[in-house]
This record gives sequence, structure tokens and C-alpha cells, in this order.
Amino acid sequence: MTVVRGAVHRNSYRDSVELMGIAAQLEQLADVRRAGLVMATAANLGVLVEAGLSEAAAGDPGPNDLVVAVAASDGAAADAALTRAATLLAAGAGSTGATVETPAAQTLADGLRELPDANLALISTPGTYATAESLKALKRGLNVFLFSDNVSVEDEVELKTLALERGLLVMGPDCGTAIVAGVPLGFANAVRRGPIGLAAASGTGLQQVASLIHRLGSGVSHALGTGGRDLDERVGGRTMLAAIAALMADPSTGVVVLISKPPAASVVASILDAVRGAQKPVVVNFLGGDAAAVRAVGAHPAATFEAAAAIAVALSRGESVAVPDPATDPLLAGAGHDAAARLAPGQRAIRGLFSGGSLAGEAKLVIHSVLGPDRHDEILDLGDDEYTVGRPHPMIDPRLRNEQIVATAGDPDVAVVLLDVVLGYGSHPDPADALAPAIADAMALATSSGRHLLVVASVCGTDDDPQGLARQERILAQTGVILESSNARAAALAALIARAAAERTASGTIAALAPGAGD
Amino acid sequence: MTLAVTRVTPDVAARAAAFRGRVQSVHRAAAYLAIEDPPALFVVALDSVGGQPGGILVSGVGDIRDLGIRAGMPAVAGDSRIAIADAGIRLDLAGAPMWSATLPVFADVVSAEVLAQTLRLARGVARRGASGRGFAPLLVGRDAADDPFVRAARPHLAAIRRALDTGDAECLCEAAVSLIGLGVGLTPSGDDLLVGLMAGLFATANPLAPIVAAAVESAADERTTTIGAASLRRAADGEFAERLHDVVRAIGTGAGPDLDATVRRAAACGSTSGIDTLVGLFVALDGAVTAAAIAVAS
Repeated sequence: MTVVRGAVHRNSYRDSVELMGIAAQLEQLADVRRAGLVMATAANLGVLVEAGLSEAAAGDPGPNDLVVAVAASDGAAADAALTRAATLLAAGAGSTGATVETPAAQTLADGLRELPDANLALISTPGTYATAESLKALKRGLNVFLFSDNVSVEDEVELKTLALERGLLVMGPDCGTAIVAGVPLGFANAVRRGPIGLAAASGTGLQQVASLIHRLGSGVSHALGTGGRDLDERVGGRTMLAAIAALMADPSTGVVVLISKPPAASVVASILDAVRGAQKPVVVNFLGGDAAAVRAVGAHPAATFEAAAAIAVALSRGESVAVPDPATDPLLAGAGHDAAARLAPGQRAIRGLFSGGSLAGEAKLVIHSVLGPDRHDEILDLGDDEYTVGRPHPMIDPRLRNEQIVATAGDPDVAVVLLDVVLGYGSHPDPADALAPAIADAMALATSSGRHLLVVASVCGTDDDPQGLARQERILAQTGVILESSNARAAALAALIARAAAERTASGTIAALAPGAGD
Repeated sequence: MTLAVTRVTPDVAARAAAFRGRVQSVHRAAAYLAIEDPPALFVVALDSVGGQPGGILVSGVGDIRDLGIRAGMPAVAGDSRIAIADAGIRLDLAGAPMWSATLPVFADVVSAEVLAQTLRLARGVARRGASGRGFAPLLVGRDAADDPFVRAARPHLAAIRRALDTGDAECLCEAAVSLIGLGVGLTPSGDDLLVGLMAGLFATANPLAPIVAAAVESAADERTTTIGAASLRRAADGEFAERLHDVVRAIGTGAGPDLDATVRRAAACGSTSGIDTLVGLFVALDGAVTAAAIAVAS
């Protein structure tokens, strides 16, 4: 039996993201078969009639009224769903939800009264207020982790100049991750403490290097984010320079690693000047940077995040440095050949669907290093503003990426879907489990069209992360994903598969042409 | 707090001399203001959203919901300043750069052959970026038997295609009006599709454009939400969002380097609005290709 119930919310203006999200939550409830939230336009009421849900729209609602329609196996389940919908709609309207017995601190001054020895403020407000709050924090002698974006470059320079004068650090704006004395801030992984200090203008770059250091058995003293714009010419690397000075002075740090997407040339020069002749070993991983310039100041260049972690761990142990280069790894090349043998003719492209911008950037560089610059593989950073207008970041909400994964299966050119899965505090609680159904659907869709879709991924995280590295990798492997231990290796494998596929197609073409050549 | 206004449309600037209204609704990237006497709907949007018909773009704000603006609050304008006093928000429009939402007509820039080819590329970009939501299945040709809104829209869209090919204004208007208010959201998918359709028809100076625009405009108030109807009225007047301008320009001038980025940006607008709009735009431009092919053949 199916019971249909409905509720009308008069003059309710909600965007479709919210309405579809609530509908999806209602459909997760026990005994709810179908739920929909639509504006009561004539066309939509017609659809409700067609769907057998006309009873839900009682009371003559108009086009500006929202109808919640629920079909459930019994009246109690339907009523429970309507109650849940009302709660979710109220929460979306700005309700603060459940009351708390102890009110949280409302201002920095309140916070300092509770924690008088605090030396760092985490600021996450709309950009409009972020500068003023950061100035207050700096004037109270607090270092600042500034998660907010939409802070002007002029304000950033002002904040960082003041911090410099006061011997403080401003991490940000738009700083997504840091680990200070073992305390994770923002999106950060659970890594053991150890002798390696990081300073990074790259969120997922920092996470990847820190996680790999942990997995190599070493640990991190501090991982300081700078904000993505710090190495811009206008900001001049102020926080990166301050972080280098702090890590050089920190007795728990034995090796310093610097990480960034490609910085401005003038800023590179001043940063390399700052590490020239440093007393501690320094590893520099500026994606696409000039290795010779790094060597010239006595530092160690690293082309990938994986290389940065491996070099730093070796240096911290006094071991000789073996720089991993997955692009020339014969085992990886062999795996690429084997995987390519399963592809249909014409499947040659790589489609990267990344949640981490720096991981996407690294993947592009690795793929170019294997395949050359003439390829036009699409490596998308789905966390970029272009994709996140009105949507949560894909590290939190997998829906956008899942849709892209399934859509990619319809493209006959695509041989490999390349993914990152980022674990840690702040990320989705079970990202592999959330991705697996879409991956399985995509593979099945390709198979039904006579193709074989390969999915290659790496998981950025540790077994100490709340999601558990082993569990995440197991779920992906069971879904048929080819896993690699780092993003660079995953990108290299994707490129080697694409190269092998191209070679197969070329030799197949020659073989096909050969008999005709003598005709 | 006074918000920094980065751009404003001429109609908003003109009305800002004096008006009274109320906040209609508040969202992450935009707040709608319902203006009285004569009625109009203006939108205060984040600068990153791009120009909007009846739009006031602001910078330095991450999420409009955090500004304390709530639905129902009075919004009053005088002397080029808009105040939402209950939230302590002011918008100073004096000296703000103007942006016109009126969509230019394609000049004779590309041949029908080039237009067809560019349209194929644009459709490919949109298809690759499309989610399964809204009317996206109409773009990718995916079987969406499970979605009752897509199922309801499909015959009307087919009728629009036929009407554009045959020049049947009556069928075109009937099918277009049937799509008004169909689908999920503030501007239901059918409304967004029609906005894209009208953009394509106006941009290609299709003689059916004013006819379908008049039909949609007269039916909008009764058949859809206030915000959907306002969007349709703007489109019927030839006013469209900047992201749509960019796509039309990129397609109209051939497959230049901006095509991918502009189509992706337009497709990413909102949860379903962007892709729904592109579905309509592509149908209208398909019509232009067919019309040109018929003209050449005859």
C-alpha cells in the first residue's frame, strides 16, 4: 500500500539545490518511497497528478507556494517525513537548530577570557569581516589562521605586514589547512609528530606531502599554510618567508619543505635567497619550478609531492636521497600496458576529476612529462570556483563529481578516469563509499557500450585519519579502481595507459593497412 | 555596512532615485528585492555571479545569507542609495559602472556551417559537464524515464524543434507556454529553458522571437513563481545574464579559445539553471542552422 501525504508552505522561495537535497534526505527515511519538493505551478501540479501524488497538493496552492509531496508505505512514515521536511526547511531558513547549554564565545575577547594562554585565532567569517577580525587578533598578539576568502590583496598585505612587525604569522586568507604543534586546522590529516616542517601555499599539496611523510614512517613538526596568494608578486611571499624563519628557529624541526603551485618569479628569487646556505636541509617543491635554481642555493628540488616527502624523510634520517620518478618506473609501465590491453579502439583520453586543486595541477605536470605537451586531456579541479558556485566543495559533497564520473562514461574517447580521494578532518566522512556507486555505474555504462572504462585513483590520507586509509582503499579496490600510493604515481599510470593505448591503436592501424598496401 | 557595488543595470540605476520594496528571498549568492509601483524584481548578487538583468553586483561578500538580510525586510531607495535598514545594509549606486543586460544580435560573423560546428563543440562541452539534474537529460539524450519533469518536458521540446523548423508560430507558442513553471526550483527548469530559447532566437534575429516572447510574457505571471516570471519577462524584453551573453558571443563568433570556459561557466550556474538555459539556447541555435540550410538549398 502506498500512502500519499503533502504539505504546502506558502510563499516559500528555496533554490533547487536545497529542495533536491531535502528530497534526497526524505527518501533515505524508512518506508518513504518517493519524495518531492516543487513550487505549485500549474505545470508541476500536472506532473504531481501524473505521478499519482495529486493528494499532496491540497488547499489550492499557487505558483509561489512550495509543495512537499511524500509517498510512503504507511501514514506514520509519510507524516514523519513531512515533519522532517518542515524541520529541514526551517533550518535552511537560518534557524540555529538545537540550543546549547553553554553559549560559545561570541567575540575574540570572550574566547581569550576562556583561554587566556591562546596564541592563535582561527578566523572563518565572510570576507567582509575577516580583515577586521584578523586585525583584532594580531593586535592581541595572536597568530592567525584565516580560512575566509574574499579578502582583498591590499588587506592581505596590510595584515601580513602588521604580523611581520609583531613577530606573528598570518596563514591565509583562503588557507584551507595547517597542522600547528600537532593540532590540525581546517582540512588536515592525522599525521604523527616528527622532524619535518612544512610551509605550503597549496592546501592539498600540504596534505599529500604530510600524509606521505607519515606513511614513510616519519612525522611532521609543524605544517604551516600560507594561503594560495602568498607567493603572488603583490604579497611577495610574506608568510612563506616568515614560516621559513619560524621553522629554521624551531628546535623540533630538522628538515624544512617548501610547497607551492607555480609562484611569481620575483618571489621565487627572494624565497630561494632566504634558504641560501640554510643550516637545516631544505626541500623545495614548487610545481613546474626550476630545479637548477633550487640546487644553486644548496636546497633539494622535488618535482612532485611524493618526491618532496621521500627526499625530506631521507634527509631527516641522514640517508642517501633516492628521488622517485614514477614516469620511468618499469613496473608502472608494465601495469599501464596490461591495463591498456582491455580498452576498446579509440579509447585514449584521460579525464581527471579532482577535488584538490594542487593535486590536479601536479597530475597535469606528470601527464605532460610522460605524454608531451600536445595532448588535450581534461584535468578538472572540481573545487575551483567555476564548479562550486552554489554548491559545497567536492571534498565535502561528492555529488557533483559523481555526476561527472557517470557522464564521462558516455564519452567514447575516454580511457582512464583519474581521481583523488582526500581524507582527513573536515573532509567527507566516507568518501570512497560515496564515490563507489558512481564509479560502478560508470564502468557498467561503458561496458554496455562495448568499452572498458579504467578508473585510477590515489587516496591522500593516513590510517589515523577518521575515515581510515585502509578502509577507503579497500572500498575503491573492491569497486575495480586501480589504486596507486600517491597522486603522482596515479597520474603517471594514467599517462602510461594512455601512451600504451595510443601505441596499440597505431600498431593496429599499421596492421590493418598492411594487407592493403600490396593491393 | 555599505556594500561595494561593482556594477548595476541602467533600469536599476534609474529606479534607485526613489523606490520602496521588500526583500523577496535570500540565497547564498543573491537576494531578490520586490519593488513596488510599478512592480519590478531586482537582484543583489555576488560579483562572481556576473551581470544579471535588474542586477546590482556587490564585492567583498562571501555569502549573502551572512549579511543579516531576511525575507520581508523593507528595501528603500533614494538618491541612488538602497537601504535595507533592518539588516544595517546600504548599497551606494552612485558612480557604479553600468552593465546592460540587453543581448546584441549576431552580426553576420559566421556561416551556418561554422555555427553548426561551433554548436556541436559547445554542446559537447556542456554535455561533458552536465549533471543528471534538471533538464540535463534533454541535453545528453540520456533515458530519464524516472524523472517525471523531464518526461513531461520532452514532447514540448520536440514540438518547439518542429515549430522552429517549420515556422509554425502557433505550435511554438503553445509548446513554450506549456513549459512555463515546469520543474524544480525558484526558476523552474522550464523557465530557464525558455530564457535560453529566447536568447537564441533574439541573438539570431529569428522572426518568431517577438511572437514567442509575447506569448511567454503574457502567461508567465499565472503559470510560474514570481522570480521565474520576472526572469521570463526580462528575457521577453531581450535581457539576459552576462554568462549567457558570453556563450552567445563565443558561439556567434566561431569556436574561439573562450568557448570551453564560457560554456562551462554558464552550465555551472546554480544547481540546474545553467544547464537548463543551455538546453533552450542550443535548440534555438539548431533552428538557426536549419533555417540557414533551407535558405541555401532554396
